[in-house]
Amino acid sequence: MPVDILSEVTCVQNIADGTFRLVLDAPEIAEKARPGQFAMVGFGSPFYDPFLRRPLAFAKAEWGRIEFTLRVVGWGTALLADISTGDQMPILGPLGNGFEKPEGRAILVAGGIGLPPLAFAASRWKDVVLLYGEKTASALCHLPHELECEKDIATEDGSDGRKGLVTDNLEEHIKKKPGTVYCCGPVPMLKEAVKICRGLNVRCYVSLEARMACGVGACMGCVIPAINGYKRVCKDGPVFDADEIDWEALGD
Amino acid sequence: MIDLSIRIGSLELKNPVLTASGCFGVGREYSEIYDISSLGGIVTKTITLRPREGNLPPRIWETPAGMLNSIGLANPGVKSFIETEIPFLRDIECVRIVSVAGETIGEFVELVGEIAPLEEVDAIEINISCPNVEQGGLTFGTDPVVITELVGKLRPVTKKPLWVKLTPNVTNIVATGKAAVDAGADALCAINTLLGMAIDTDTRKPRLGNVTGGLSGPAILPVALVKVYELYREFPEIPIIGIGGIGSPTEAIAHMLAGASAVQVGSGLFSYPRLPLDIIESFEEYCDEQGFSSVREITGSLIIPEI
Repeated sequence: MPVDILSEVTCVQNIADGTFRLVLDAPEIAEKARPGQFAMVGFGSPFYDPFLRRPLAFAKAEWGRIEFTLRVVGWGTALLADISTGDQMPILGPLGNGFEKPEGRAILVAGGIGLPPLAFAASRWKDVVLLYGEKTASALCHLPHELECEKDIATEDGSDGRKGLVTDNLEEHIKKKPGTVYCCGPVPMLKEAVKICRGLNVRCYVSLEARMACGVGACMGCVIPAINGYKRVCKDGPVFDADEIDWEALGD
Repeated sequence: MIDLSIRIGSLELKNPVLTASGCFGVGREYSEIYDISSLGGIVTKTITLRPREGNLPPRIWETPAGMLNSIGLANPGVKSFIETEIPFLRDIECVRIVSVAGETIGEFVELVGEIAPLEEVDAIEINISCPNVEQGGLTFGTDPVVITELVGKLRPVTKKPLWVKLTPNVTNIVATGKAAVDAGADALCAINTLLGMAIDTDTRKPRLGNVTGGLSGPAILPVALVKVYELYREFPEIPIIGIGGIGSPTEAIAHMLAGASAVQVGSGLFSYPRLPLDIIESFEEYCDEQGFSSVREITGSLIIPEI
């Protein structure tokens, strides 16, 4: 059951280019939040402009606090990054289905700001390898450094870690130690990961994003094309079995 | 103690705050967040005769102090609705209104016929104002002749109150309102969304998959208020349910001052799910300040200074 509360911001920190760590005091949500779930984060009073809350995936939930990692992509996220410690923010959560915990090995594939929910999963699960890719070193988040799991970090320009795409080594990782694949990131990355998983007959889950209005499943605004018709990202997802999605209709 | 109860025709509501169609499902999701029985009433997502997949995504786009939507009346169809959603409404202790839309007058008649016998439904809202469907939406809602014919055909089908939801996308809402009232509508709901669009100048494409959508949110409050005001001035005896732009208690009260007997909260729920409860709570203080003993006294008590 989600709760709608006002929570106090305890930390706002710039952790990479245009990327911020936002920590809030929210015990009611922290005790329930699971990896892959999200919250609708509002702007406080008056709630007119921006009008809609922003869906943000949990990056962490412990000791009564919830943490988000947000990248500034528009004026809404810019305003969220501009808040101060001590501010009160309306939070509705936890929402969405979250990742199903794997039986054995989990292979996590994170592209850019798709990292937070997978970093949260990596902190809660055992036997994990985290593949994380960014365009360049200045965009890399600190989150993986706090994790004890096996990591494979790549930048497209080779300025840090391995040079190339996050999916370049996916096949190798699966072959080395098979498991379930969990992906979050840009759609072209998801499509590439899904192609690799299908080729190796490996189960693959993807976490999708969409512009949302209600966030709870009522308004039908955030639908994506699935094999059996439209699905709501907020309520049926945001995590989907890759085989449920109509990848051709999804677009990039 | 202020009396919060109101009447819409034969229906008694414990307070004048309802949730608007399309923003609340049947209340299932929001009932996980708070007790929806404390509302005056709920209006369900619009139901059609056959299932509708809805429009091509993207279906929503945020605009200055508002949003565009083009959901396209996605719903499971009336048969599935009666099977899966009506049982949920059984135990909800507030007024339950089902919103319906047809592509033809015949479809509307059939739909209302399906809903009419259900004891879980207290009233029926006739949606002739959805801007996101090709047939039966604005094509019906902007034509007084069609409205009179439609409401006239629905009137004998049910004894349940018929509320007619009007579109603001007309030159004269009094003409469409009159058409509904003359044919036997029990209440007028104003307004549905305003037709609008948004454009991505980089890609030169519309922001919505369906190109156009319906504008809602605080941005449309002034439009909603003047429509309610015009209707109330013309039909002081017909209950008006004010909808549009309600983002805080003040705006709900403004709707009532303009002539609304009750209000519906729509997309304001998205930015603040508890908004209806806050509005209900706010009446006590407002009525005290204004010297009213009942919320009914707010309706139409707008003061227009003489010039």
